[in-house]
Amino acid sequence: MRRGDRLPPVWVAAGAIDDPRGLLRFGDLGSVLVPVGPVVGGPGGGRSAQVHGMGPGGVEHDEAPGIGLVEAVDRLRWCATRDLRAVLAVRGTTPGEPATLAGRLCRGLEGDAVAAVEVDLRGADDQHCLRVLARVREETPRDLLLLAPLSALQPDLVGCARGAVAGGAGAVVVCGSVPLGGGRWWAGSSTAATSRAGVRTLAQAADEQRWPAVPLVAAGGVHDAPSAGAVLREGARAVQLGTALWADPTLLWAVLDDLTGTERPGARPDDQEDHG
Amino acid sequence: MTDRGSGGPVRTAVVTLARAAGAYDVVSLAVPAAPGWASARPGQLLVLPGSPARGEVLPRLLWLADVTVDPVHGTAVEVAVPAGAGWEVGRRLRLVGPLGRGFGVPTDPVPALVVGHGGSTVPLRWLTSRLRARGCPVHLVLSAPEPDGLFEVAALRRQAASVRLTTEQDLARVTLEVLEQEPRVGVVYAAGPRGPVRQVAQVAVGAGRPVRVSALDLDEPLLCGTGLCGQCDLRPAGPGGPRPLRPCLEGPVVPGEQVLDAAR
Repeated sequence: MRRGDRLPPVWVAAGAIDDPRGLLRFGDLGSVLVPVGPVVGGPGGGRSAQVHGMGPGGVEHDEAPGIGLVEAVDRLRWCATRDLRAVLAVRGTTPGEPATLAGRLCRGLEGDAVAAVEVDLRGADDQHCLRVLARVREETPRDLLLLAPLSALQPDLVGCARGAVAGGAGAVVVCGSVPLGGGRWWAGSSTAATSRAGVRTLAQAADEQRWPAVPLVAAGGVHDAPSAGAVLREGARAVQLGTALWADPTLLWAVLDDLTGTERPGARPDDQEDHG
Repeated sequence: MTDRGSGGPVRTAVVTLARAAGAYDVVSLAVPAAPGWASARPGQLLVLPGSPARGEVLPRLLWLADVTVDPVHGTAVEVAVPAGAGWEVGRRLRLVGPLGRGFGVPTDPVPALVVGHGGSTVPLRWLTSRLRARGCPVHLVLSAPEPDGLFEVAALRRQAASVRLTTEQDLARVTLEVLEQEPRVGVVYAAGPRGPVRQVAQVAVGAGRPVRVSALDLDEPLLCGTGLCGQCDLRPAGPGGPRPLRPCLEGPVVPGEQVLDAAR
């Protein structure tokens, strides 16, 4: 996918869903972008994020430990053989590491499956955002869409977005997850207001020309069509679903159908269930 | 009543019967006919999706306790829920399933040993019935935190050649005793928490018997059951080992050898 292309309305969030094979049995993934990663240097954690507890509307979980290059190649190959488009999420401990990882995977035989590269910049400052994305821009194919996930709770959200765009980001992902310290995050439907606030802040700043606006993707708290619609009205161009799919994987298609205006037989029948 | 297209195997079920059975209520569900039910096996599970809009962040997971496919009377599914969970007759609910890979039965009528603990014994009555139908004498070794926690042990006693009740700590030891007393046992099945299941697999592999285990324990909290969250991953003990096994995606029933080296 090239920078400036129209974004698909619904994406699957990397980190929450680290293996899209589980989703495929519930429906067609051809119209969504599926995540691969986060890819890290070294062998990777070889596992998904550990969930430590849950409460009303959210779960407390570790940061996804990431997968190694070999596992990432396997998953990109899986996407390529099914004609799926992947968002390659990369993460590094140095400014150059995400670029190295993204470059190697995009240049590989499975690189055609990469529709976008996402570099986790939550908690970074504006200069770090600029440096990291500029390096990724150099290592990846020209015009490939780069995504910059930023935390809606970052102190200088607008400055970070400005730095990310200056570095080459074609879209900014506004994450509503709440950092709990120690590598833990709070995520779930209870964070919807946080991501909406982040989107609102960036949209307003764009109106005031405080940063060169690029499309915004809302991640965090989107759990049904109304919550997706609410964040789109704030200025987001697309939504990412993550932990909501743990509760109900079919929400992906319910939200997609609603946003694209598709009528499918047997859409999510909430009204058919009795909640005692 | 079936949501095809958008949601894959999503169905709306209706509670038709609920009866008490120890620490459980056995609930019968009327479900729409679908090809998956005829091939359902013990060890597969149902996922009752949660509603994030209501603050539910994880679904409810249930073992299939039995499935009856009847072209005249329809398809009935049995599940076990904690006693007094309030599943009234007539209640409608969405469910996804049957999911996963269940226990297969041997092609030849060989004696079988079935080992289970606690809530994971729910599919074992159905498994025992299927083994009996294949002509396999069944020996059972069961444990539970409390006596009521064994699922329909009276029905199991009627079907099995022998039933040994023990504690979770002694599950592997008693399994070994039964294997020594019954040298004709040709296959071992195990379901329960990770630790005891791994010990049973070690005993069975050590005794040279093929073993199939359910690598998913629904008594563990915080599981999505659909292969997305990775909370159930079985991780290799050391670096450079095989990639993690995700039981709710690749199982839950897997060859016992696959759980032997897992660190978790």
